[in-house]
Formats: sequence, C-alpha cells, structure tokens
Amino acid sequence: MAAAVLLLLLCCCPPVALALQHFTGEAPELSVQEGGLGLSLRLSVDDEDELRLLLRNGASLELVINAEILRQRTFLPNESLDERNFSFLLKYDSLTRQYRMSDPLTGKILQDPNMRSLLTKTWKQLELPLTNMDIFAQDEDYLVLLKLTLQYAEIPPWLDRSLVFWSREVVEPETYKLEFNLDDAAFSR
Amino acid sequence: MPLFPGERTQPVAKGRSRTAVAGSGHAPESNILTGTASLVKSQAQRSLDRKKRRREFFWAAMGLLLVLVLLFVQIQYFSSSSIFFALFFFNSVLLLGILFVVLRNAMKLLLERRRRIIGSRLRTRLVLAISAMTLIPCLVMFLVTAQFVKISIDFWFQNQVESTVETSLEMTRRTYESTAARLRSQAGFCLAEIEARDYGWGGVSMDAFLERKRQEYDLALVGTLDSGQVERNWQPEAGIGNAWQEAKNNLDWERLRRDGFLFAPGYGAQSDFMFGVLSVGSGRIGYLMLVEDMGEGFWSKLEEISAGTQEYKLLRTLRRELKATLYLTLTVLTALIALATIWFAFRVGKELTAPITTLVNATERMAEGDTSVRIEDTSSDEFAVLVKAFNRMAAEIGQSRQELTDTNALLGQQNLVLDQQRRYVETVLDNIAAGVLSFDAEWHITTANKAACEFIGLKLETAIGRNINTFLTKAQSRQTRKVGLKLLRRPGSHLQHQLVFTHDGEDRHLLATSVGLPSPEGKFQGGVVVFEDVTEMEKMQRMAAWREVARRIAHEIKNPLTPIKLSAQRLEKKFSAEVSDPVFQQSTQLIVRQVELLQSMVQEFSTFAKLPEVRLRRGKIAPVLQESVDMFRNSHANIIWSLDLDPNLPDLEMDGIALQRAFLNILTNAAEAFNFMESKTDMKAEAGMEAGGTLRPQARMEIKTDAEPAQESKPGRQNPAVRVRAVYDPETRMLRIDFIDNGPGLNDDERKRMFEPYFSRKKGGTGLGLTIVRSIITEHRGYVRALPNEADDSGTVISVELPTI
Repeated sequence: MAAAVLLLLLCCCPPVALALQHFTGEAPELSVQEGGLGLSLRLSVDDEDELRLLLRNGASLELVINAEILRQRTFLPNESLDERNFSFLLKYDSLTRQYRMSDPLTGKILQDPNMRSLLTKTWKQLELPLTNMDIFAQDEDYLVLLKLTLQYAEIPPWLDRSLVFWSREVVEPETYKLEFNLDDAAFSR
Repeated sequence: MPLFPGERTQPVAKGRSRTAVAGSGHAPESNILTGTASLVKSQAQRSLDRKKRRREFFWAAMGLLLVLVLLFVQIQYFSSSSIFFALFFFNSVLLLGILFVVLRNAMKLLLERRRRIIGSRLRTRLVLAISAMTLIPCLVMFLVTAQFVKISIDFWFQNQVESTVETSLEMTRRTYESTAARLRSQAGFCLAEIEARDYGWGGVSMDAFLERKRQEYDLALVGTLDSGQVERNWQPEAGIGNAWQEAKNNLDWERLRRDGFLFAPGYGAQSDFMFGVLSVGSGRIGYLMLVEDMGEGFWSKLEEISAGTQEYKLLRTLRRELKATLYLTLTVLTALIALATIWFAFRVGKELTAPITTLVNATERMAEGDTSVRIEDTSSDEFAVLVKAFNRMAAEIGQSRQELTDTNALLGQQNLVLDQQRRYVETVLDNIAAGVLSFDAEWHITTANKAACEFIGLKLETAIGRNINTFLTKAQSRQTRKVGLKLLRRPGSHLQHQLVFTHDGEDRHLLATSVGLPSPEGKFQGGVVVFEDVTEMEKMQRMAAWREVARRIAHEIKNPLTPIKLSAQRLEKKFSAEVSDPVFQQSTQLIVRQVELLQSMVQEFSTFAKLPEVRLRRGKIAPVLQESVDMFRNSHANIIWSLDLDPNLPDLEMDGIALQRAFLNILTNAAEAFNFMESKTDMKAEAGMEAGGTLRPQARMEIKTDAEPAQESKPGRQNPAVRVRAVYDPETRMLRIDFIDNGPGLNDDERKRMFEPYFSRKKGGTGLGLTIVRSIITEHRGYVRALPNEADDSGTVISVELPTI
C-alpha cells in the first residue's frame, strides 16, 4: 500500500534533475564568423571542485549544445531552418591522471592534468559555427534556441537500465533564446 | 421444463454469478406473478448496471486522458527516456487501477458485512485467508530480498574490494608510468650521446647508433622526426607504422614542445606500443622517438583495468541511487503482487461464495415456503452436484408440500363436515326436551346440553368440568352412587332411575337413563345420562287416574242419589202432616239438600270425567272474553269488572266454548274469593255456541270457590275488583290473558297446588274447577299459571297464555 502511495506521488511529481550546479559565464552571443552565423559562448560551472570530484569518481560527462535556428512567424509556428548539436565528452583518465575532452570542432581529444586548464581552453572560449548566412533574408526575424545540457555519459548499460529514477543531468539545463535579423549591424553583410 | 405437473420453474437472473436462483412464490399462480415481478426487477437492475458501467467508463476515460496529459508533460519537459516513462505511467495506471479495484472491493465487502448480507463473512474469511497465505510469504520475501540487496551492494563497496581495485589501478599506473619514465630517461641518455657524438639530426650516420641503442634498450624502434614531424632514421617493425600514425595524430605537439617529452600509446595489430617522444630544441631541431613493444593487448588491458576502476567508482558514487532503485523496484513488485493477490482473493472469494450465497438464499426462500425455487448452474464441479441435489430436494419437498396441502385441504373439508355434523348434533341436543349429559371416569361433566343444565339447575359455562356429586342432594347422591357402582361393574349396561330436582320451588321428576362408556379394554371411562322430564307425564297420568276415579264415583253415587232424594221428598210429603216434630221436616229437607249437593258434586265429577275433546278453529278471543265478563258483571254487580283488550289481538286456533268454560271457572273463583256471595254460588255455566256464533249455555255447572273467605280488613273487600287484560306479545307470538283480582290472595303452596285435582281449601269444594281450566288450556297448547298480584298488594293473577300459531 505504501508503495502504491509512493508511486502515486511519483506520478504527481515527475523526476526532475536534482542539479548539482548551474552554468555560469557570459550570455551567449551571435556573430558572423567566416561568412556564417556563429555563436560565442563562455561557459563554466559554479562549482568546478564538485565537477572534478565527479570525474575522479569515474563519471564521464557530456556537454551537449543544441542550437536550433528558427524563422519567426506571426501567426504560424516558427519555421526551423537549421539545427546543430555539439557534444563535448569530458572524463578523467585515472591511468594517465589526465582530464580528457573530445572536441567536436577539431575532432581531437584534448588532455590535461588540470581540469580548469582544460576547461579554459575549451568551454570558456567556445566559438561555434551554426549555419551559413545564405539562409537568412532581409526583413525577417530569426531566433536561435540554445539549449545547454551537462549530463552523465558512458554509463554502463546495466546501470543505465537499473537507475530508472536517477537523473543524468549534472547541471540544470539552460535554455537561451537569441533573436536577430539581418538589419542588425552585427549581421549586416 | 416443469418438474412437476402444475409447477413452473422460472430461470431467473443468469447474471454475473454462474449460479442463479429461479422461481418464487408458493403456488403456480403466485409464481407467475412474482416471476414477472422479478423479471421487471432484473431489467431495472440491468439498466442500473448499464448506467453504472457508463459512469465507470466515463471516469476511466477521464483518468486515461489525465494520464496521457501527464505523460505528454513528462515526455516533453522531463523525459530522459520516453519509453521508460511511458511504461512507467502505464504500469502506474495499472497499479492504480488494481488499487482502485481492490479498495472498491474492500469497501463493498465492508458494507456487505455491516449490512449482514449473506456470504459476506465467508468471503471476508476467504479474502483474508488467501491474502494472508500470499502476503505473508511475499512480505517475508520482500524483507529478505531487501536485506539481501543491502548486504550485496554494501559488500561490493567493502574497503577490501575498494583497496584491491585501487591497488590494481595503482599497479597498472605504475607500470605505465615506469615504462614512460624509463622511455624518458632512455630518450635523455640517447639524446645526450647524440649530442656528444655530434651527429647530424636525422642523418644516415645516426642509423647505426639508433639501431645499437634500440638493441641496447630492447626497444621496438628508436627513430627521429624532423622539426616538421617527418620521420627520419625510421626503420620500424611491422605493425608500428599504423599505430604510430594514430598516435601521431592525437599527440599534443604543442605541449610536447612545451614540456619536452610526451608519451603516447599505440595500438598495433599484433602488439601494442608505447611511443615516447622527446622534443629536441623545443622541436626546432626535431624529435627523438623511442618505441617499446608492450605486447599484445597491453593498452586494452590497462584501459580495461582503468575503465573497471572508473566504473567501480561511479557505481560507488551511485550506490545510494542504485539501492533506492532496487528497493523501489522490489516494493513495486511486492505491491503489485500484494494487490494482485488481494484482487485475486476477492475474485476467488466471490467465485466461491456466489454459489454458496445462492444456495443460502434459495434455502431461505424455501424456508419461507417458496418450494418452487430452483438453482441454475452451468458448471460441472462439486457445486453442480450440490445444486443438483438441492434442486432434487426442493422438488421432493415441493411434492411433499403439495401432498400435505392436499391432505390438509381434505382434512379441512372433513373437519368442516364433522363440524357441521357436530353443530347439527349440538343443535339437536340443545333443542330437544331431553337433557343429555356426559361425564368422564372421574364423574366430571364433559358435555351437557341446555336441557340438562336446566334440569340440574346449572349454567352451561359452569357445568363443564364439575363433579356430578357437587350439585346433587344426599338422596340423589345415594341414588347415583348405586347407579355408579353398577356402571363401574358393568360399564356397558343401561340403567334407568328417577330423580327429583327442585327448581324455583317446583319439583321436576326426571327419568335418568345412564349408559356407561367402556373403553376397548372394557374399563369404565365415563358415561352418558339422558334426562327426560316426566313431571307433566305423571300429572297427565294422575289426571287420567283421577278422571277414572271421578267417573266411577259419579257412576256409583249418581244412581242411588235420585231414589234417596225422591224417598226423602216422599217422606216429607207423606209424613209432614203426621209428624209435627220440626226435626222431621228439617231432616228430610237436609237429606234433600245434601243429596242435591251430592248430585251437584257427582255432576261435576261427571263433567270432569267426560270433558269433551276440544275442536280448534280459527276465531277471535275478544268476544269470548267480553261475553264472559258481561255475564259476571250482571250477576256480581258488587264487584267492579273491567276488561282491557289489546286492539291488535290476532286470531288464534281455539275452541270458544271450551275456553269460555275455562274463563267462567277462573272468574267464578275470582268472584268467590271476595266472599260477597251469601251462599254458595251456584254457578251454572253454560257453554256452547249457538248457530249464530253467540255463547249459548249448554250445561249448568256449579262451581264452588276454592278461596278462603276474605278478611274484612283486606283492601279487596272495600273495592272488590276483577280486571281482565288481554295482550299480544309479538316476540313470543303468544296471547296472554291475565285475570287480576284484588282479593285476599293465595300463599305459595296454594298457588302451586291449585291446579291439581281435588285440591280445594273450600269446605265441600271438589277441587276440579281449575283442574278443568288447566286441562282445557293445555289442550290449546297453552299455559296457565297463578301469580301473586303485586300491583295491588293482594290478590291473585291467573295468567293464561295461548299460542297464536
């Protein structure tokens, strides 16, 4: 009976991320980079020690940056023009005692015994190419929906299946809405 | 199909239960009626059920919609695994559905128990028993498993395991680092020697040196790279090339230049390698590379150890969540099993108790008298056998009941007949003049009719159960004791004896015929006494005897009287002149007078003996009375005569002459009662009707008064009066004629005996006048009684009652 009541409560209160930390840093900015639309992001977490402890305790973390470019419409739903995903896998190699991060932009794995140094080189100076400017037109308003998620990755399948009510999110997901049009000075061709 | 003729079996309510009760009512007619009623009821019930199902469906649909909305919200905003949460919600809904069903069943059962519905207690026991049978082991299993999970997970993260893992990692790390350190030092030595020998970087002259160093350090390769990271002095073994290209791509050259030395793993097809790269002149000159063959799968093994350690650490970090998940899963499973078990228990309880409940209901209905009840059962298990046995029993009881009813009806009819016969016999007994009385062996009265009660002077209500000896006089008791003794000796004998009962001062002579009632064994067990009132019969017999006496006296005395009288007259006539003695004349005259008196008496005797038979004809009484009274009004003017006639006097069957003779006798007696007549009143009453219907004297009758001379002081003497009153009583249909005088009156004894022959208080009276009156009135089926005149304080009332039919 108690289990049934517990389940009832669980139904009423869906499992949300009990986030350890929050993203910090400057707000993302859109810019034109090499003839395309780019996103500048200075990303960090509020408690790096906690993050470090997680990594040292065997966790692999994945930063997922999802950017969807939409054309805003008044009466109809916004039109999706493009969508990009960037995934940064961060983990600690207990053998080499180094932090390793896969960089989706270069395709390389960056290693550093110092996590802060590694993060400074990567997340704190992200310049992400989103799409070509050709898809944009004058007199139109556009929107970039940016969603940042830092979650556990490479969880052994048996554990992944077992931990049904465990939130994989390490940091509370962050969502940004960035509006622009080509009339802005920053985006003028 | 009816089981018995005239009986209708009604299949009713093939409902949710496999067993249904059929039939109701006691008689076939009532079966049909109640059957229709129950059909109506079942339709109403079905309608209610349909509404209920619709309502439940509505709420279920609403619940499902809510679940879908929640599911959408969950998936849209909170999901990490949509399938999981979909399944989770589906299971939750299922669980909640089962929980709802279980709670609903429990509430229903609770309510049924409170309402004391048949079968609810048994169902409760079954539910509790089945639930307990499953829940207790389930709970035990849950606790054991939970403990097992706790112990197991805690066991995984024991310090010993953890230290082992950490040690293995440390050992691996040391191997790795020592290899790297060795490569680094070897690279340093090698570079120092190259610098000492002043080789040109990447020149051919270095090949032999590098080959020698490779052999000296037992390495797979010792080579150089120029500042552009192009391989020089490069004589790799097979398999190194591909591994190096992969490691070269991942190598952080900038860091290498900064740090001076880096090592990188290499994965070969046959063997793994460790590449140690030393930057020379911060990479401006080139790079010295030493490659050590680590053997097949070396890096994989190291990484496995590392990955295993990492996984172990991750697991340790998440062990609380893992435990919670396992506990939750276990709890959910246990709850599911528990709820499913309880639901199953309810279901089984219902299945098991439904036929029992039906049987109990059917039995109760049968106990209430509905023998047409039947149970339908489509199963083939033991209940079906029970149901068949019940139906067979019901049919047999119904048949027996029908037979009993028929027998009862027959007995009722017979009782009715017997009751009618008994009433008839009672009516006969109550209306016969004879008294019938029965008694038991203890001489207690068991039955008595009205006449018997009247004879013995008891009321019917008090007579029953009373001992006979309690109301008998000593003399009567002596008589009955003798009779009783005879009956005891011979219970079947018939005995007759006479009893005299005095009732209201009047003796009643009863002829009692006693019959004993013997038992089949011949023992005395009571008897029956039949009383016959022989008082009147005795009187009649006495009257007849007296008439015979009167006739003989008249006959014997009458003949010599005439010669005696004539002789006396002759003597007087012949010798009166010769005999001067007045005694002679007085004597002869006395003889003549006495003879005349005797002749008168003889005449009266003769009249009494030869009273003509009355001839009844329809006639009116008023003229007879009027003529009689007028006759006396003229002859007895000193008496006030009055006649009150009811104007509605009906005609009656009568003999006018006989009645007038009777009335004249009564009136004569009344007149003589006043003693106003100086001498004996010779009342020559002549009776007879002329042809014209008028009263015609036929005979001369001398009536002597029976009454004593009245006292001077009595009020009657002052104003002597005789009143004749005739009234008709419609209720009894009797004509009553009262002759009321205010004379001196009579005492009780005189009144009792005044109608007896030859009873006279008057000297020389024959005592036949009122006897003749009684004889005439009796022949008219009437009654004559003497009563005191209570209205005038003295006098007598002679009351004559004559029937008008």
